[in-house]
Order: sequence, then C-alpha cells, then structure tokens
Amino acid sequence: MKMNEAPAPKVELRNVRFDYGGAPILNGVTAVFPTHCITAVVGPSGQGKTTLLMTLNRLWQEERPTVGRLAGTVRIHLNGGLVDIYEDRYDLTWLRRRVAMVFQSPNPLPMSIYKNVAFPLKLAGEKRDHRMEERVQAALRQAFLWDEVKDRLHKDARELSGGQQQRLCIARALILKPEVLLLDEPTSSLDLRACEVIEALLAHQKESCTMVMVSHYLEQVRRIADRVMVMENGRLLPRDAA
Amino acid sequence: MMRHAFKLFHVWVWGSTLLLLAATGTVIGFLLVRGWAGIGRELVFGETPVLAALMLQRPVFDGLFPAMVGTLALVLLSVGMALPVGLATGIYLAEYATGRLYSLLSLFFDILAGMPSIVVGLFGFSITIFLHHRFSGKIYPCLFISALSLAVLVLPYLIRTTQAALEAIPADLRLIGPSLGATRFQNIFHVLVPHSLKSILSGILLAIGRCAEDTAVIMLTGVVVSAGIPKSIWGNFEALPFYIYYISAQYADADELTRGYGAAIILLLLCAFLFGIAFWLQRRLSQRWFERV
Repeated sequence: MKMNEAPAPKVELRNVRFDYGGAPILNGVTAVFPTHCITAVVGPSGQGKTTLLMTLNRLWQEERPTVGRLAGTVRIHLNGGLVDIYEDRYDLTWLRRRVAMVFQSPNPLPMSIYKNVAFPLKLAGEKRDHRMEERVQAALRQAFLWDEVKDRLHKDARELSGGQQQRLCIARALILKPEVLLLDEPTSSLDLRACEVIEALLAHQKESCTMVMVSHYLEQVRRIADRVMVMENGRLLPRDAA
Repeated sequence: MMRHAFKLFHVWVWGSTLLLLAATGTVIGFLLVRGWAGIGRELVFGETPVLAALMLQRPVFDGLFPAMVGTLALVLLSVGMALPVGLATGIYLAEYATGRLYSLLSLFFDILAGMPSIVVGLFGFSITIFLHHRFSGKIYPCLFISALSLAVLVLPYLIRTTQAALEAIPADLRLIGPSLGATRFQNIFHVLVPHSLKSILSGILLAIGRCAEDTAVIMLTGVVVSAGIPKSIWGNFEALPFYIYYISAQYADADELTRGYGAAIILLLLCAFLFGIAFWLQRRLSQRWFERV
C-alpha cells in the first residue's frame, strides 16, 4: 500500500482523553487507523503510547483499583459494523477476541507450545480437537514458526529462544483471527535476526488484519509501517505535522 | 565506609542464616539424642500386635498410635475446613475487594491472625456450650469442634498467603489472559492461581504445622489423655502435642520423659509426611495445569 492512498478507516478516535489518577496521559487524541495497514506510533518514552493501545481493547480497565478515566469516543469496524467499543452492550471478551494484543516482552504461559497457542481457543469454548489442531497449525504457520516447532509441539514453550517465544505470542494472538492487532514494541527485546523475521511476518499479516504498532526503532518503522504517527504531550499527530 | 557497611551487612545476613540453621539443627539433634532410645514398636503400639492395631481390631492402650491417628485426623479435618474458605477469601481480597471494604477486611484478618490460640480455644468451647444448650444435649467437646476452632486459627494464614501471592503477580502477566479474551474468572482460574500455587503452598504448610502443634485450642475443645482411636468426629480424641504437654508436665520417671521426646520426634515426622503430601499435591496440580489447558 502506498503512503498517500486513503484506505477505509478501521479504528477512529475522537477527542480521546485519558487521565491516570488525575494526571493527563492522552490529551484529546483524534486519529484514524486505516484498514489493512500498519500504523506505527512513535515518540519519546512516557508519552502514553502503550496507554493509547490499551484504550483500543479496554485493557486499562483490568487494573485494580481502576484509577484511569477515559473520555471521548473510540470506534472500531468490527464484524462488518462500526462500534463504539465503550458502549456497555459490547462484551469485553468479545472485543478482545477481535482486537488482540502482543506485548513488549515475550510472555508464553508455563505450558507446552501447542497449549500456549490453543489457549485463547480453549477460553473461547472450542472443544473439537481436530479443529483446534488445524487452527494451531495455521496460526503457527502465520507466525513463521511451524517449521521450527512442528516436531516439538508438546515441549515447554519457555524452552524456545526469545524471538521464537515472541512469534509464539503472535501466533497465540492470531489464532482467533482478530481484525485488529495491537503491538507494543514487539521486537524491543530481540536480536536483529529475530526482528527481521517478525517484521516479515507482520508485513505478511496486513492482508488479514489491521495493525497498530508502538515502536522506538525508526529504521523498523520505515521498513514496515504504512502510516507513522507521533505521540507528543498526549497528542497524536501525523509524522509530517509533528 | 560503604565497603565496611556492606561487609557488615554481609556478615549479618550470613550470620543470621547460620544461626537459624544451627538453632534448628540443635533442636532436632537434642530431640534425637533424648528421644531416639524411646523410638520403637512399643512406643507406638504398646503391647498390641502391629497388624491388629493397624486393622483397628484391637485397641492400643499404652502406645501413641491413637494420638497419631487423632493428630492426623485433626490436621486433615481442620485444613480441609479452612482451605476452601481461605483460598476463596484470599482470591476475593486480591481480585475483587476494593476501597473501604478491602481495608476493613484486611484489618479484620490481621486481628484474627494475631489472636492468641487460647482465645480461639475459648471461642470453640463457647460454641460447644451454645450448641449443647441450643441444639442437642449430645454435643460435647469433640474432634469436630477442635478442628473447627483450629480452622478459625489458621484461616488468616491461608487468606493472607493467597492474597499476597496473587497480588505479587506482575502486571504484564496479569494482563495476558484478558488480552486473549479471558473472562475474569478464567484469568483467575487458568492463569493467576496456577501461577501462585507455590506461594499458596507455603500458607498451607504453615497451616498444617500450626494445626499439628497447637495444644491450647484442643485442650479446651475435645482432646483427652486416653480416648483411643476417634470413632467419629463427634467423639473425644487423643493428639500428639497434648500427649507431649501432658508427659512433660507430669512425667514420673526418666523412661516416661524419653517417651515424651519420642512422641515429639514422631510429631515432627508426621508433619514432614504431611508437608511431603502438600508438595506432591502442588507438583501434581502444576503438572495437571500444564497438561490440561
């Protein structure tokens, strides 16, 4: 996709304000993240980039006690319709199965490779073993990991290398076929080779989902992002305007 | 100056650890030296044939076997009563309670944790009197009331260790489940509790140890010197800690005192056996979690 095309919006934020215990983090963010694009969010540390991601799947609400406050609207095209994700009628589990997230550090659960990837499917109530096997294999292929682990699916996932663990986490996030994938500095703890593999697989995923990626690596952003936005003082601006 | 302070700190940390190890070793060594001579078939079964005693065909009058069975039953019953409530309350405090309710419950459990066991024993005794007058004249101090009182005694340990274990889980781990579409219950059941099992186990071990050693509570709620094997939870029972207390207070000769030391060794072994079971259960549960999900 060329940088100057205008694909349909997938995520729309209108005047989103977020404060944490009274301290403003997001200060009236208005932005659009286009469908089937990788939008990179860059900016100095502590500007609210991770918070921005967490407003898109309401993950900030998991904090206990919840001291964050959000105002404004966050709308996402999900299941063919534009939904305001903060409306009470939308179930959080439904939302998070449509808007998946990959964290900064690889975080496999202490179980086998197979069970790590199958975990979200199990949570969603899938009981058919053959269906699960198909989906696990497909997700591992999507994450460019299948060939490396197909002979040791039942080994402990924590025995994988850092890069493999992160790809496992991406496979785990992809298994429910999310429409939006949020990536919080997914390569920050990995070596150059592992970064390249992950960049290639993310570029490959654009056809199936929209991605919003926080990154500190400008070279990486140049290589894979379709849109770049800068977070500064709680505002999100297109890179040219920043 | 800083180097000297660090060296001093190093010596203090190592010294304290060694002191503790030495104290534990001294206690166990002292018990073994004084009680080993008394350990034997006769101490446990008296004159009764071992098989007949184990099959409950003949009563043991002058051995520790009834006290061992009584202690085992008491520990299992008390921990069995306290564990579900303790775990559930710990989970509630860590995952659901907020604001003033959280502070109020925390204060309440801290007070309960600091309550002397004799007061809990008096509470159990009062409960017995109440039940005796209010419900049935057949209710007397018994194994059930003792176990219930001990369950109250150890409940704060279980609650606090479960709560602390869950609250210590790092935020990024806590968010894995929800980010994958887990409900709060699924996250607690599939991610948080299995991750905390080892820490929760330390609370269970503490509870087992406390139930096995406490004398003040059971003295007021059902233990006697000679009751034989408890026939039901509504009957009197014997227990090793009470036997040790009784012998140490009223021994008539050196042989009797040696039997008391022997009983203390057996109590330690019984606790070690229960700790072993708790470790095994924790490993099995962790393994099952690894295999199941």
